[in-house]
Amino acid sequence: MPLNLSNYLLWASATVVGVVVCALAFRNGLFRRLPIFTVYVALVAIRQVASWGVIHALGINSMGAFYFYWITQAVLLSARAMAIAELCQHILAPYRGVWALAKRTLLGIASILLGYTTITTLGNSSQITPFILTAERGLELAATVILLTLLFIRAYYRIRSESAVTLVALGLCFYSTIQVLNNSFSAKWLAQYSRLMHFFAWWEGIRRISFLLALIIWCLAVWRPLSATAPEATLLPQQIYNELTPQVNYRIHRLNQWLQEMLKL
Amino acid sequence: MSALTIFVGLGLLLFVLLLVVFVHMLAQERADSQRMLKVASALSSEDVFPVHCCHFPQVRQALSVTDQQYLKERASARVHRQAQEERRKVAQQFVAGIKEDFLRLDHKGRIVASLSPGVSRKLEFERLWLMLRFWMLYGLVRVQLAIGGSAIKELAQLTELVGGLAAQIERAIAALEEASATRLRPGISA
Repeated sequence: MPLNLSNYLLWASATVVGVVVCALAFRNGLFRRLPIFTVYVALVAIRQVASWGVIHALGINSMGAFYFYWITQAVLLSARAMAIAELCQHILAPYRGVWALAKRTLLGIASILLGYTTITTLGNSSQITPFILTAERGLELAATVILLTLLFIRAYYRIRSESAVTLVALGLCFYSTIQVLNNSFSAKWLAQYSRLMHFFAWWEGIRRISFLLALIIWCLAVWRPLSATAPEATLLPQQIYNELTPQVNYRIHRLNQWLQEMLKL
Repeated sequence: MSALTIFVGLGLLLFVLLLVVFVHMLAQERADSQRMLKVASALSSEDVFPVHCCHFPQVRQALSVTDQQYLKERASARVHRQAQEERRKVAQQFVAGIKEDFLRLDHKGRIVASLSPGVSRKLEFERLWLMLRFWMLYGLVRVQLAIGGSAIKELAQLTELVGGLAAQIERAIAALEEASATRLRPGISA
């Protein structure tokens, strides 16, 4: 598949924005807040530049380029998984009670989805393309669900985080959601019509555009310098929760009973 | 249903959820390093207490059976119908007010949970489930009122319940102030 102008433009844009995000992340202090995410962005920028060299040295249809693409993709996927874990910890860990509860919930969700991914991927192991796309789709699905659960917990408990951190989460979630859709279509169509390379061009195009949009969201996140220290949560004494919450639950339970009785009339 | 349909549906659902989260976050305030100060002032301010429940005696008077009987005997059928319609509107507005009171209390309850060093998984999931049930039942009660149910007695019970919850929060906050006066002071003055 030859590279056309739109490929070059997308590649160049993603490279430039990736390098800018990386530089701003170091300059404006995101590195102190989210070191793994910053390393991930740096890896993205390095891969963007390196892929240029590999494609031109070996050719886009060579096995070398194929292995380079998928090996670096696996590395980036792992780095992104670690960045998501870091993000969960950064947002929720200051709230010790909620974090203890959320950690188990998030780990449970991750285990179920990763188990499901393993099973479905092994089911598609006869062909390389569906195998990779199914694996990637499962991992992206896990990433999306975990990030949405994180954002739900954050919203439910009215937990405030810096807008930069929230935008990083939204960018990651956006990219993963688009990839779930993209890989769902591609896994089906590429498996059936693998000789029709224009499907691959579509798949790659959507991937590149969504990644460029995610990079722009991250660019907005790191545009302004962050304060030297992250805002800290000052916790209340445990006694207040222990006293209040059972009473609140009891009252709501009673309220529901009354509402049910009203409905019976 | 094919795997493609399931995944595309799931992906679209996740995308819609993401958009909802994004809009919700845009509506939220920015990060606040002085959150403790806000929480402390919010917990002790008047807005934690029910506003609408306090007006229940007046609402009860407006919706009383004697008033209805009086109108039926003295007024024309048209006026009586009009009055009934107004009564229904008052009841609906009052129930909506009860919901506001409930939401305000619930908001404070969640903040207390988020700022606690430890939370009970059982209690948190129980509250989440109870909240979902509340919304469902509240919606059904609204429908019942819309189709002509009176439910004055039940409104009184509902009001007592929400009012009682506020009183308990008040007691808990008083206990908190006593127990943690020294801890709160630096947070407020910071």
